[in-house]
Amino acid sequence: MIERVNWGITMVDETDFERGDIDLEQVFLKARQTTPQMSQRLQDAVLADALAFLPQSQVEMDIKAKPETRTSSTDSAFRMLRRNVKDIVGGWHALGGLAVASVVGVWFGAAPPTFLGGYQSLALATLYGDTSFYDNVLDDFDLAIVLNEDLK
Amino acid sequence: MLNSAFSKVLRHKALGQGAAVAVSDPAKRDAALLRRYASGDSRAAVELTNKLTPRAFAVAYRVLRDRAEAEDVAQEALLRLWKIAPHWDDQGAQVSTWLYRVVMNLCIDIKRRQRGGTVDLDDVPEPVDPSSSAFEDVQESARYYALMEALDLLPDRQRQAVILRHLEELSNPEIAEVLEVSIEAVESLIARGKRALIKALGDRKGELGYYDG
Repeated sequence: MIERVNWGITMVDETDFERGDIDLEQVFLKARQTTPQMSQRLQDAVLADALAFLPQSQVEMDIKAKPETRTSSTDSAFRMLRRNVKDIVGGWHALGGLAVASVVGVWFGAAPPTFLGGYQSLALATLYGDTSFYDNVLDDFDLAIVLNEDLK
Repeated sequence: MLNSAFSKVLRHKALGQGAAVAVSDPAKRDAALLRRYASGDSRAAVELTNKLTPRAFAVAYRVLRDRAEAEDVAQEALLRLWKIAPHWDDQGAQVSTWLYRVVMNLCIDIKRRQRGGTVDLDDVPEPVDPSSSAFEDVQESARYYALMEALDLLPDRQRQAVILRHLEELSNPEIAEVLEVSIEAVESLIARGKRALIKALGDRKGELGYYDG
């Protein structure tokens, strides 16, 4: 190591450090070649952190926003209509009752039970003014007899 | 914790993606990767992890010489990078410089806490050089250990400056940025550090085989 005084300042020539017996550059070179190997655990942990803190991409935000956009057109109109019908009829219970009554009505219309024969004839007689329908009524019910007498 | 198979798949993807990033300057490439990460690109996360983790760990390990502590420091430094990514200022420090600075500060914190602690030689990795003979291997190992022990005797700033300059091969302006001192201060730290190393190693010349030649 050589120190020189130049303009009153002590100057140190670095190369003189390495000219001695100790070749520091050679020691550093060997040390650089000895790269500390990190563990797979560290690599995995850092990657897990990176993915955990990964900001949401624009594409992901667009995908999440899309269903909201779709419902604002046709779906929302349908939903509004459904809500209005429900409000008018009186809620889901009322709608359920109405549906059951409709199904039973269609069923009785297509295949009426035998005990309803009289009522059916009475209805036809009343609708069309044809008294021949009362015969069926008379066969089935006393009430029909009374009605028949009243009509005559 | 991700399993290693998943990591391998992501790493493979990252290698394919790496070719697509046509940025030649490493500093700009790091910044570009960080921008991609901030915009939600998971492949950028993998690339940055693969690139920066070994560097953060290596420098932390060289300063601390403790594998577990170096791993903690590397993970913490990168965690801070992920958190700051959305607010990263391209006009500020380079990504690698910023990371070195965080690693160094974390190392200083640890060193301060354990001031007066001893060095565990079992933690020092064996130097591997397949081209050299067994005798040279032993001698190189002895010199490597001696260098690490001598580095440990240096004051914190000197040790960091020497490690960054001669083991991490950073330029003096980069080191100045990492250590947040002037370039002149870096030159002084390195010069004093190397002088102390020469002296420490010189005291062990015979042991280290420097009389052979």
